[in-house]
Amino acid sequence: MKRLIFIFILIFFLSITIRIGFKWIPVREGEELLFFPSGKFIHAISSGFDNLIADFIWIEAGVYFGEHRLSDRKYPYLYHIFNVLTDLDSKFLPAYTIGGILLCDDVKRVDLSMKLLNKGMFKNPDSWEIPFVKGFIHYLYTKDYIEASKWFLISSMKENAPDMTYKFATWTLLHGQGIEVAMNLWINFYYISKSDLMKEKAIKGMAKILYNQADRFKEEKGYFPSSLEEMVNNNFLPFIPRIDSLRFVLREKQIIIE
Amino acid sequence: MNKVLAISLNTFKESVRDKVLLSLSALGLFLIAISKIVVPISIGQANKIIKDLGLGLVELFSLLIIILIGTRILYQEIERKTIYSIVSKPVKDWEFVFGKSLGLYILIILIQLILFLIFIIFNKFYLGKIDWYLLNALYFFIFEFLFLNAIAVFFSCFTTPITAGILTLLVFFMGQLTHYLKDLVVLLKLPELNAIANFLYFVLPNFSVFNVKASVVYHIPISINSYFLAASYSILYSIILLSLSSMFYSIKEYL
Repeated sequence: MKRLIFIFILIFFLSITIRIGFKWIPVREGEELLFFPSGKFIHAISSGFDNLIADFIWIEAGVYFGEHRLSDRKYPYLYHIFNVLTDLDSKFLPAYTIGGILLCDDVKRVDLSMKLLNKGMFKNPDSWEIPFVKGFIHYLYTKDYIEASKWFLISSMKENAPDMTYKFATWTLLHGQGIEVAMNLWINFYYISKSDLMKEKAIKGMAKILYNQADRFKEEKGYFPSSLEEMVNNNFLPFIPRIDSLRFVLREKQIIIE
Repeated sequence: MNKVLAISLNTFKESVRDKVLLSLSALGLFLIAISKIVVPISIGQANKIIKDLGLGLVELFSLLIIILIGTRILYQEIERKTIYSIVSKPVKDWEFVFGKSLGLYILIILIQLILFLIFIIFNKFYLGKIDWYLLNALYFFIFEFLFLNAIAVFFSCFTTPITAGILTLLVFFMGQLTHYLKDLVVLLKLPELNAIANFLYFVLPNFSVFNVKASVVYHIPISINSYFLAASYSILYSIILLSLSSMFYSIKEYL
Protein backbone atom coordinates (compact mmCIF):
# COMPACT_ATOMS: atom_id res chain seq x y z
CA MET A 1 0.00 0.00 0.00
CA LYS A 2 2.84 2.37 0.91
CA ARG A 3 4.48 1.64 -2.45
CA LEU A 4 1.27 2.41 -4.28
CA ILE A 5 0.90 5.74 -2.50
CA PHE A 6 4.54 6.50 -3.28
CA ILE A 7 3.98 5.74 -6.99
CA PHE A 8 0.88 7.98 -7.05
CA ILE A 9 2.85 10.82 -5.45
CA LEU A 10 5.58 10.37 -8.07
CA ILE A 11 3.02 10.41 -10.92
CA PHE A 12 1.46 13.54 -9.45
CA PHE A 13 4.81 15.37 -9.37
CA LEU A 14 5.70 14.10 -12.82
CA SER A 15 2.48 15.49 -14.28
CA ILE A 16 3.12 18.86 -12.59
CA THR A 17 6.69 18.88 -13.92
CA ILE A 18 5.43 18.14 -17.44
CA ARG A 19 2.69 20.78 -17.28
CA ILE A 20 4.94 23.52 -15.97
CA GLY A 21 8.24 22.40 -17.47
CA PHE A 22 7.11 22.49 -21.09
CA LYS A 23 5.93 26.06 -20.71
CA TRP A 24 9.41 27.05 -19.53
CA ILE A 25 11.07 25.68 -22.63
CA PRO A 26 10.16 27.98 -25.50
CA VAL A 27 10.40 26.59 -29.03
CA ARG A 28 12.62 28.95 -30.95
CA GLU A 29 11.69 29.75 -34.50
CA GLY A 30 13.31 27.36 -36.95
CA GLU A 31 14.20 24.79 -34.31
CA GLU A 32 10.85 23.10 -34.23
CA LEU A 33 11.39 20.69 -37.11
CA LEU A 34 15.16 20.77 -37.43
CA PHE A 35 15.25 17.05 -36.70
CA PHE A 36 12.95 16.27 -39.61
CA PRO A 37 15.10 14.34 -42.10
CA SER A 38 14.59 13.96 -45.84
CA GLY A 39 12.06 11.58 -47.33
CA LYS A 40 14.77 9.47 -48.95
CA PHE A 41 16.45 8.94 -45.59
CA ILE A 42 13.21 8.03 -43.82
CA HIS A 43 12.35 5.68 -46.70
CA ALA A 44 15.70 3.93 -46.27
CA ILE A 45 15.25 3.39 -42.53
CA SER A 46 11.52 2.76 -42.51
CA SER A 47 11.94 -1.00 -43.11
CA GLY A 48 8.86 -1.38 -45.25
CA PHE A 49 6.67 0.67 -42.92
CA ASP A 50 6.78 3.70 -45.26
CA ASN A 51 3.02 4.06 -45.46
CA LEU A 52 2.56 3.91 -41.73
CA ILE A 53 5.26 6.55 -41.19
CA ALA A 54 3.69 8.65 -43.96
CA ASP A 55 0.39 8.52 -42.04
CA PHE A 56 2.09 9.79 -38.90
CA ILE A 57 3.69 12.59 -40.93
CA TRP A 58 0.24 13.38 -42.35
CA ILE A 59 -1.07 13.76 -38.81
CA GLU A 60 2.03 15.80 -37.91
CA ALA A 61 1.31 18.05 -40.92
CA GLY A 62 -2.17 18.66 -39.55
CA VAL A 63 -0.82 19.41 -36.07
CA TYR A 64 1.89 21.71 -37.47
CA PHE A 65 -0.59 23.58 -39.63
CA GLY A 66 -3.14 23.86 -36.81
CA GLU A 67 -0.61 25.12 -34.27
CA HIS A 68 0.74 27.81 -36.58
CA ARG A 69 -2.69 28.79 -37.78
CA LEU A 70 -3.63 29.55 -34.21
CA SER A 71 -0.39 31.40 -33.48
CA ASP A 72 1.90 33.19 -35.96
CA ARG A 73 0.33 32.02 -39.26
CA LYS A 74 3.81 31.30 -40.62
CA TYR A 75 4.49 27.84 -42.04
CA PRO A 76 8.19 27.62 -43.01
CA TYR A 77 8.30 23.81 -42.93
CA LEU A 78 4.94 22.98 -44.47
CA TYR A 79 6.37 22.28 -47.93
CA HIS A 80 9.16 20.17 -46.45
CA ILE A 81 6.61 18.08 -44.50
CA PHE A 82 4.48 17.45 -47.60
CA ASN A 83 7.56 16.76 -49.70
CA VAL A 84 8.79 14.12 -47.22
CA LEU A 85 5.31 12.67 -46.92
CA THR A 86 4.97 12.26 -50.68
CA ASP A 87 8.47 10.79 -50.93
CA LEU A 88 7.32 8.06 -48.56
CA ASP A 89 3.87 7.50 -50.00
CA SER A 90 3.77 8.72 -53.58
CA LYS A 91 0.18 7.49 -54.10
CA PHE A 92 -1.24 9.59 -51.26
CA LEU A 93 -3.28 11.98 -53.44
CA PRO A 94 -4.70 14.19 -50.64
CA ALA A 95 -1.13 15.05 -49.63
CA TYR A 96 -0.66 16.68 -53.05
CA THR A 97 -4.07 18.29 -53.35
CA ILE A 98 -4.54 19.53 -49.78
CA GLY A 99 -0.83 20.37 -49.54
CA GLY A 100 -1.04 22.31 -52.81
CA ILE A 101 -4.01 24.35 -51.61
CA LEU A 102 -2.53 25.08 -48.18
CA LEU A 103 0.78 26.15 -49.70
CA CYS A 104 -1.02 28.45 -52.05
CA ASP A 105 -3.75 29.80 -49.78
CA ASP A 106 -2.01 29.99 -46.39
CA VAL A 107 1.73 30.02 -47.15
CA LYS A 108 1.19 32.26 -50.21
CA ARG A 109 3.78 30.28 -52.16
CA VAL A 110 2.22 29.36 -55.48
CA ASP A 111 5.64 28.20 -56.74
CA LEU A 112 5.92 25.56 -53.98
CA SER A 113 2.31 24.58 -54.47
CA MET A 114 2.93 24.00 -58.20
CA LYS A 115 6.13 22.10 -57.40
CA LEU A 116 4.22 19.72 -55.13
CA LEU A 117 1.39 19.29 -57.63
CA ASN A 118 3.81 18.66 -60.50
CA LYS A 119 5.51 16.00 -58.41
CA GLY A 120 2.09 14.47 -57.79
CA MET A 121 1.25 14.42 -61.49
CA PHE A 122 4.58 12.82 -62.31
CA LYS A 123 4.01 10.06 -59.73
CA ASN A 124 0.28 9.66 -60.40
CA PRO A 125 -0.30 10.33 -64.10
CA ASP A 126 -3.80 8.78 -63.98
CA SER A 127 -5.16 11.03 -61.26
CA TRP A 128 -7.79 13.61 -62.28
CA GLU A 129 -7.69 15.30 -58.88
CA ILE A 130 -4.20 16.81 -59.14
CA PRO A 131 -4.66 18.60 -62.51
CA PHE A 132 -8.08 19.72 -61.28
CA VAL A 133 -6.52 21.35 -58.20
CA LYS A 134 -3.91 22.91 -60.47
CA GLY A 135 -6.68 24.43 -62.56
CA PHE A 136 -8.46 25.47 -59.38
CA ILE A 137 -5.37 27.32 -58.13
CA HIS A 138 -4.80 29.00 -61.50
CA TYR A 139 -8.40 30.13 -61.57
CA LEU A 140 -8.86 31.37 -58.03
CA TYR A 141 -5.37 32.43 -56.97
CA THR A 142 -3.19 33.30 -59.95
CA LYS A 143 -6.21 34.37 -62.04
CA ASP A 144 -4.69 32.79 -65.12
CA TYR A 145 -7.89 31.60 -66.76
CA ILE A 146 -6.28 30.11 -69.87
CA GLU A 147 -3.97 27.95 -67.70
CA ALA A 148 -6.93 27.07 -65.48
CA SER A 149 -8.99 25.96 -68.45
CA LYS A 150 -6.06 23.91 -69.77
CA TRP A 151 -5.68 22.01 -66.50
CA PHE A 152 -9.42 21.46 -66.09
CA LEU A 153 -9.42 20.01 -69.60
CA ILE A 154 -6.44 17.74 -68.81
CA SER A 155 -8.24 16.62 -65.66
CA SER A 156 -11.42 15.86 -67.63
CA MET A 157 -9.47 13.57 -69.96
CA LYS A 158 -8.38 11.26 -67.17
CA GLU A 159 -10.15 8.02 -66.49
CA ASN A 160 -12.85 8.28 -63.76
CA ALA A 161 -12.87 12.08 -64.00
CA PRO A 162 -16.29 13.44 -63.01
CA ASP A 163 -18.33 15.52 -65.47
CA MET A 164 -17.71 18.71 -63.51
CA THR A 165 -14.08 18.76 -64.69
CA TYR A 166 -15.21 19.14 -68.31
CA LYS A 167 -17.86 21.68 -67.29
CA PHE A 168 -15.24 23.82 -65.57
CA ALA A 169 -12.91 23.56 -68.57
CA THR A 170 -15.60 24.94 -70.87
CA TRP A 171 -17.01 27.48 -68.39
CA THR A 172 -13.55 28.87 -67.76
CA LEU A 173 -12.90 29.20 -71.46
CA LEU A 174 -16.28 30.80 -72.16
CA HIS A 175 -16.69 33.06 -69.14
CA GLY A 176 -13.13 33.69 -68.02
CA GLN A 177 -13.32 35.51 -64.74
CA GLY A 178 -17.09 35.03 -64.40
CA ILE A 179 -18.32 35.00 -60.84
CA GLU A 180 -20.54 31.97 -61.54
CA VAL A 181 -17.53 29.80 -62.35
CA ALA A 182 -15.77 30.80 -59.14
CA MET A 183 -18.89 30.09 -57.06
CA ASN A 184 -19.42 26.72 -58.70
CA LEU A 185 -15.76 25.90 -58.16
CA TRP A 186 -16.05 26.44 -54.42
CA ILE A 187 -19.32 24.46 -54.24
CA ASN A 188 -17.77 21.51 -56.10
CA PHE A 189 -14.59 21.81 -54.08
CA TYR A 190 -16.70 21.49 -50.92
CA TYR A 191 -18.36 18.30 -52.15
CA ILE A 192 -15.19 16.57 -53.37
CA SER A 193 -13.25 17.40 -50.20
CA LYS A 194 -13.23 14.75 -47.52
CA SER A 195 -11.55 16.79 -44.81
CA ASP A 196 -13.29 19.34 -42.60
CA LEU A 197 -10.34 21.70 -43.10
CA MET A 198 -10.90 21.86 -46.87
CA LYS A 199 -14.69 22.08 -46.48
CA GLU A 200 -14.16 25.04 -44.17
CA LYS A 201 -11.87 26.60 -46.77
CA ALA A 202 -14.59 26.19 -49.43
CA ILE A 203 -17.18 27.92 -47.23
CA LYS A 204 -14.79 30.77 -46.43
CA GLY A 205 -13.87 31.06 -50.14
CA MET A 206 -17.56 31.35 -51.04
CA ALA A 207 -18.19 33.90 -48.27
CA LYS A 208 -15.25 35.96 -49.55
CA ILE A 209 -16.69 36.04 -53.08
CA LEU A 210 -20.07 37.13 -51.73
CA TYR A 211 -18.48 39.86 -49.64
CA ASN A 212 -16.38 41.14 -52.54
CA GLN A 213 -19.49 41.30 -54.71
CA ALA A 214 -21.33 43.20 -51.98
CA ASP A 215 -18.42 45.67 -51.93
CA ARG A 216 -18.65 46.03 -55.70
CA PHE A 217 -22.37 46.66 -55.31
CA LYS A 218 -21.66 49.43 -52.81
CA GLU A 219 -19.07 51.02 -55.11
CA GLU A 220 -21.46 51.09 -58.04
CA LYS A 221 -24.75 51.86 -56.29
CA GLY A 222 -23.46 53.99 -53.43
CA TYR A 223 -25.06 51.94 -50.67
CA PHE A 224 -24.50 48.48 -49.17
CA PRO A 225 -27.01 45.81 -50.31
CA SER A 226 -29.54 44.73 -47.71
CA SER A 227 -29.63 41.09 -48.79
CA LEU A 228 -28.20 38.59 -51.23
CA GLU A 229 -31.55 38.57 -53.04
CA GLU A 230 -31.04 42.25 -53.81
CA MET A 231 -27.64 41.42 -55.29
CA VAL A 232 -29.19 38.68 -57.47
CA ASN A 233 -31.93 41.08 -58.65
CA ASN A 234 -29.29 43.64 -59.64
CA ASN A 235 -27.16 41.03 -61.47
CA PHE A 236 -24.29 41.16 -58.99
CA LEU A 237 -24.77 37.50 -58.16
CA PRO A 238 -25.91 34.71 -60.51
CA PHE A 239 -27.62 32.80 -57.69
CA ILE A 240 -27.74 32.47 -53.90
CA PRO A 241 -25.36 29.67 -53.00
CA ARG A 242 -26.33 26.77 -50.77
CA ILE A 243 -23.88 24.16 -49.60
CA ASP A 244 -25.44 21.15 -47.90
CA SER A 245 -27.77 22.63 -45.30
CA LEU A 246 -25.71 25.82 -44.99
CA ARG A 247 -27.28 29.11 -46.03
CA PHE A 248 -25.34 32.27 -46.82
CA VAL A 249 -27.05 35.41 -45.56
CA LEU A 250 -26.04 39.06 -45.83
CA ARG A 251 -26.84 40.70 -42.53
CA GLU A 252 -25.49 43.92 -41.03
CA LYS A 253 -22.90 44.25 -43.80
CA GLN A 254 -21.52 40.82 -43.07
CA ILE A 255 -21.80 37.41 -44.70
CA ILE A 256 -23.27 35.04 -42.16
CA ILE A 257 -23.43 31.27 -42.60
CA GLU A 258 -26.50 29.68 -41.04
CA MET B 1 7.73 -36.86 -41.14
CA ASN B 2 5.63 -37.91 -38.15
CA LYS B 3 8.51 -37.01 -35.89
CA VAL B 4 8.71 -33.52 -37.37
CA LEU B 5 4.98 -33.07 -36.84
CA ALA B 6 5.16 -34.38 -33.26
CA ILE B 7 8.00 -31.97 -32.41
CA SER B 8 6.22 -29.07 -34.11
CA LEU B 9 2.99 -29.78 -32.23
CA ASN B 10 4.87 -29.91 -28.97
CA THR B 11 6.71 -26.64 -29.77
CA PHE B 12 3.41 -25.03 -30.65
CA LYS B 13 1.80 -26.10 -27.36
CA GLU B 14 4.85 -24.96 -25.43
CA SER B 15 4.95 -21.55 -27.11
CA VAL B 16 1.23 -20.95 -26.65
CA ARG B 17 1.78 -21.11 -22.90
CA ASP B 18 4.47 -18.43 -23.12
CA LYS B 19 3.53 -15.26 -21.23
CA VAL B 20 5.40 -13.10 -23.75
CA LEU B 21 3.10 -14.35 -26.49
CA LEU B 22 0.00 -13.59 -24.47
CA SER B 23 1.12 -10.07 -23.62
CA LEU B 24 2.24 -9.34 -27.18
CA SER B 25 -1.00 -10.61 -28.69
CA ALA B 26 -3.06 -8.65 -26.16
CA LEU B 27 -1.07 -5.50 -26.94
CA GLY B 28 -1.51 -6.07 -30.69
CA LEU B 29 -5.25 -6.51 -30.32
CA PHE B 30 -5.47 -3.47 -28.08
CA LEU B 31 -3.56 -1.27 -30.53
CA ILE B 32 -5.65 -2.40 -33.51
CA ALA B 33 -8.78 -1.74 -31.47
CA ILE B 34 -7.77 1.77 -30.47
CA SER B 35 -6.79 2.73 -34.02
CA LYS B 36 -10.09 4.65 -34.04
CA ILE B 37 -8.43 7.40 -32.00
CA VAL B 38 -6.67 8.52 -35.17
CA VAL B 39 -10.01 9.22 -36.92
CA PRO B 40 -10.54 12.77 -35.55
CA ILE B 41 -6.99 13.82 -36.40
CA SER B 42 -6.78 12.03 -39.75
CA ILE B 43 -7.89 15.08 -41.84
CA GLY B 44 -10.40 13.01 -43.80
CA GLN B 45 -8.08 10.05 -44.37
CA ALA B 46 -9.36 7.70 -41.66
CA ASN B 47 -9.99 4.92 -44.17
CA LYS B 48 -6.39 4.79 -45.34
CA ILE B 49 -4.82 5.39 -41.94
CA ILE B 50 -6.82 2.64 -40.20
CA LYS B 51 -5.82 0.17 -42.94
CA ASP B 52 -2.14 1.19 -42.84
CA LEU B 53 -2.10 1.04 -39.07
CA GLY B 54 -3.76 -2.38 -38.98
CA LEU B 55 -1.43 -3.93 -41.56
CA GLY B 56 1.61 -2.32 -39.96
CA LEU B 57 0.69 -3.59 -36.50
CA VAL B 58 0.01 -7.15 -37.69
CA GLU B 59 3.47 -7.19 -39.30
CA LEU B 60 5.21 -5.51 -36.37
CA PHE B 61 3.74 -7.82 -33.73
CA SER B 62 4.50 -10.91 -35.79
CA LEU B 63 8.08 -9.65 -36.05
CA LEU B 64 8.26 -9.13 -32.29
CA ILE B 65 6.89 -12.62 -31.62
CA ILE B 66 9.51 -14.12 -33.94
CA ILE B 67 12.28 -12.16 -32.22
CA LEU B 68 11.16 -12.75 -28.65
CA ILE B 69 9.98 -16.35 -28.93
CA GLY B 70 11.53 -17.75 -32.09
CA THR B 71 15.06 -17.00 -31.05
CA ARG B 72 14.59 -18.82 -27.74
CA ILE B 73 13.05 -22.09 -28.84
CA LEU B 74 16.27 -24.03 -29.37
CA TYR B 75 18.16 -22.30 -26.58
CA GLN B 76 15.44 -23.09 -24.05
CA GLU B 77 15.62 -26.81 -24.85
CA ILE B 78 19.34 -26.83 -24.13
CA GLU B 79 19.04 -24.54 -21.09
CA ARG B 80 16.26 -26.55 -19.46
CA LYS B 81 17.99 -29.79 -20.49
CA THR B 82 14.71 -31.03 -22.03
CA ILE B 83 16.74 -31.66 -25.19
CA TYR B 84 18.15 -34.85 -23.59
CA SER B 85 14.74 -36.48 -23.70
CA ILE B 86 14.66 -35.82 -27.45
CA VAL B 87 18.23 -36.66 -28.46
CA SER B 88 17.98 -39.93 -26.57
CA LYS B 89 15.24 -40.95 -29.01
CA PRO B 90 15.82 -41.85 -32.67
CA VAL B 91 15.26 -38.30 -33.90
CA LYS B 92 17.54 -36.89 -36.57
CA ASP B 93 18.99 -33.39 -36.17
CA TRP B 94 17.16 -32.03 -39.18
CA GLU B 95 13.88 -33.48 -37.91
CA PHE B 96 14.36 -31.67 -34.63
CA VAL B 97 15.25 -28.31 -36.24
CA PHE B 98 12.51 -28.54 -38.89
CA GLY B 99 9.97 -29.62 -36.25
CA LYS B 100 10.85 -26.72 -33.95
CA SER B 101 10.69 -24.26 -36.81
CA LEU B 102 7.35 -25.62 -38.04
CA GLY B 103 5.86 -25.40 -34.54
CA LEU B 104 6.85 -21.77 -34.26
CA TYR B 105 5.57 -21.07 -37.75
CA ILE B 106 2.15 -22.57 -36.97
CA LEU B 107 2.01 -20.31 -33.93
CA ILE B 108 2.88 -17.23 -35.99
CA ILE B 109 0.26 -18.10 -38.61
CA LEU B 110 -2.35 -18.53 -35.89
CA ILE B 111 -1.48 -15.22 -34.25
CA GLN B 112 -1.53 -13.48 -37.63
CA LEU B 113 -4.92 -14.96 -38.45
CA ILE B 114 -6.33 -13.80 -35.13
CA LEU B 115 -4.85 -10.30 -35.46
CA PHE B 116 -6.05 -10.10 -39.06
CA LEU B 117 -9.54 -11.24 -38.15
CA ILE B 118 -9.74 -8.59 -35.45
CA PHE B 119 -8.38 -6.04 -37.91
CA ILE B 120 -11.05 -6.99 -40.49
CA ILE B 121 -13.81 -6.84 -37.86
CA PHE B 122 -12.67 -3.38 -36.74
CA ASN B 123 -12.53 -2.33 -40.36
CA LYS B 124 -16.15 -3.29 -40.74
CA PHE B 125 -16.96 -1.60 -37.44
CA TYR B 126 -15.14 1.69 -38.14
CA LEU B 127 -15.42 2.01 -41.90
CA GLY B 128 -18.73 0.25 -42.43
CA LYS B 129 -17.50 -2.31 -44.93
CA ILE B 130 -15.01 -5.12 -45.25
CA ASP B 131 -12.20 -4.59 -47.72
CA TRP B 132 -11.47 -8.11 -48.93
CA TYR B 133 -8.51 -6.91 -50.95
CA LEU B 134 -6.64 -6.63 -47.64
CA LEU B 135 -6.43 -10.42 -47.56
CA ASN B 136 -3.71 -10.18 -50.21
CA ALA B 137 -1.44 -8.72 -47.55
CA LEU B 138 -2.05 -11.77 -45.38
CA TYR B 139 -0.82 -14.05 -48.17
CA PHE B 140 2.44 -12.09 -48.39
CA PHE B 141 2.78 -11.92 -44.59
CA ILE B 142 2.49 -15.71 -44.39
CA PHE B 143 5.50 -16.16 -46.67
CA GLU B 144 7.44 -13.25 -45.22
CA PHE B 145 7.22 -14.79 -41.77
CA LEU B 146 8.07 -18.27 -43.01
CA PHE B 147 11.33 -16.72 -44.15
CA LEU B 148 11.88 -14.68 -40.97
CA ASN B 149 11.08 -17.72 -38.87
CA ALA B 150 13.81 -19.67 -40.66
CA ILE B 151 16.24 -16.78 -40.10
CA ALA B 152 15.44 -16.67 -36.37
CA VAL B 153 15.87 -20.45 -36.00
CA PHE B 154 19.10 -20.28 -38.01
CA PHE B 155 20.64 -17.68 -35.69
CA SER B 156 19.35 -19.38 -32.56
CA CYS B 157 21.33 -22.50 -33.53
CA PHE B 158 24.67 -20.93 -32.74
CA THR B 159 24.08 -17.83 -30.62
CA THR B 160 22.28 -16.74 -27.47
CA PRO B 161 18.65 -15.56 -27.75
CA ILE B 162 19.58 -11.87 -27.39
CA THR B 163 22.21 -12.05 -30.12
CA ALA B 164 19.90 -14.10 -32.34
CA GLY B 165 17.12 -11.54 -31.77
CA ILE B 166 19.38 -8.63 -32.69
CA LEU B 167 20.72 -10.45 -35.75
CA THR B 168 17.22 -11.37 -36.93
CA LEU B 169 16.12 -7.77 -36.54
CA LEU B 170 19.21 -6.58 -38.42
CA VAL B 171 18.55 -9.01 -41.26
CA PHE B 172 14.96 -7.75 -41.41
CA PHE B 173 16.16 -4.12 -41.65
CA MET B 174 18.92 -5.01 -44.09
CA GLY B 175 16.51 -7.04 -46.20
CA GLN B 176 14.47 -3.89 -46.79
CA LEU B 177 17.55 -2.10 -48.12
CA THR B 178 18.93 -4.78 -50.42
CA HIS B 179 17.58 -3.01 -53.51
CA TYR B 180 19.78 -0.01 -52.65
CA LEU B 181 22.91 -2.09 -53.30
CA LYS B 182 22.66 -1.59 -57.04
CA ASP B 183 21.97 2.14 -56.63
CA LEU B 184 24.99 2.41 -54.36
CA VAL B 185 27.37 1.17 -57.05
CA VAL B 186 25.95 3.69 -59.51
CA LEU B 187 26.08 6.51 -56.94
CA LEU B 188 29.66 5.79 -55.89
CA LYS B 189 30.68 5.45 -59.54
CA LEU B 190 32.55 2.24 -58.85
CA PRO B 191 31.72 -0.16 -61.69
CA GLU B 192 34.38 -2.60 -60.43
CA LEU B 193 32.11 -3.29 -57.45
CA ASN B 194 29.23 -4.15 -59.76
CA ALA B 195 29.85 -7.89 -59.63
CA ILE B 196 30.03 -7.92 -55.81
CA ALA B 197 26.92 -5.75 -55.51
CA ASN B 198 25.06 -8.03 -57.91
CA PHE B 199 26.15 -11.10 -55.98
CA LEU B 200 25.07 -9.59 -52.65
CA TYR B 201 21.85 -8.37 -54.21
CA PHE B 202 20.86 -11.89 -55.21
CA VAL B 203 22.22 -13.69 -52.14
CA LEU B 204 21.10 -11.43 -49.29
CA PRO B 205 17.49 -11.61 -48.19
CA ASN B 206 15.24 -9.18 -50.01
CA PHE B 207 12.11 -8.40 -48.03
CA SER B 208 10.77 -5.89 -50.52
CA VAL B 209 9.42 -8.97 -52.38
CA PHE B 210 6.82 -9.30 -49.61
CA ASN B 211 5.98 -5.63 -49.19
CA VAL B 212 2.65 -5.12 -50.92
CA LYS B 213 1.01 -3.07 -48.18
CA ALA B 214 0.77 0.08 -50.33
CA SER B 215 -0.71 -1.84 -53.28
CA VAL B 216 -3.25 -3.48 -50.99
CA VAL B 217 -4.35 -0.22 -49.38
CA TYR B 218 -4.60 1.61 -52.73
CA HIS B 219 -6.15 -1.39 -54.52
CA ILE B 220 -3.35 -1.49 -57.07
CA PRO B 221 -3.45 -4.84 -58.90
CA ILE B 222 -0.67 -7.21 -57.82
CA SER B 223 0.79 -9.28 -60.64
CA ILE B 224 0.52 -13.05 -60.47
CA ASN B 225 4.33 -13.19 -60.71
CA SER B 226 4.60 -11.41 -57.36
CA TYR B 227 2.48 -14.10 -55.68
CA PHE B 228 4.59 -16.81 -57.23
CA LEU B 229 7.88 -15.07 -56.47
CA ALA B 230 6.97 -14.45 -52.81
CA ALA B 231 6.01 -18.10 -52.26
CA SER B 232 8.91 -19.71 -54.10
CA TYR B 233 11.52 -17.26 -52.77
CA SER B 234 10.39 -17.75 -49.20
CA ILE B 235 10.08 -21.56 -49.36
CA LEU B 236 13.42 -22.12 -51.09
CA TYR B 237 15.35 -19.69 -48.90
CA SER B 238 13.76 -21.17 -45.76
CA ILE B 239 14.67 -24.73 -46.75
CA ILE B 240 18.28 -23.63 -47.35
CA LEU B 241 18.43 -21.80 -44.01
CA LEU B 242 16.86 -24.66 -42.06
CA SER B 243 19.24 -27.15 -43.68
CA LEU B 244 22.15 -24.94 -42.63
CA SER B 245 20.59 -24.69 -39.15
CA SER B 246 20.48 -28.49 -38.90
CA MET B 247 24.14 -28.57 -39.87
CA PHE B 248 25.11 -25.99 -37.23
CA TYR B 249 22.96 -27.74 -34.67
CA SER B 250 24.75 -31.06 -35.37
CA ILE B 251 28.17 -29.43 -35.07
CA LYS B 252 27.14 -27.75 -31.81
CA GLU B 253 25.82 -31.02 -30.45
CA TYR B 254 29.08 -32.86 -31.06
CA LEU B 255 31.36 -30.10 -29.77
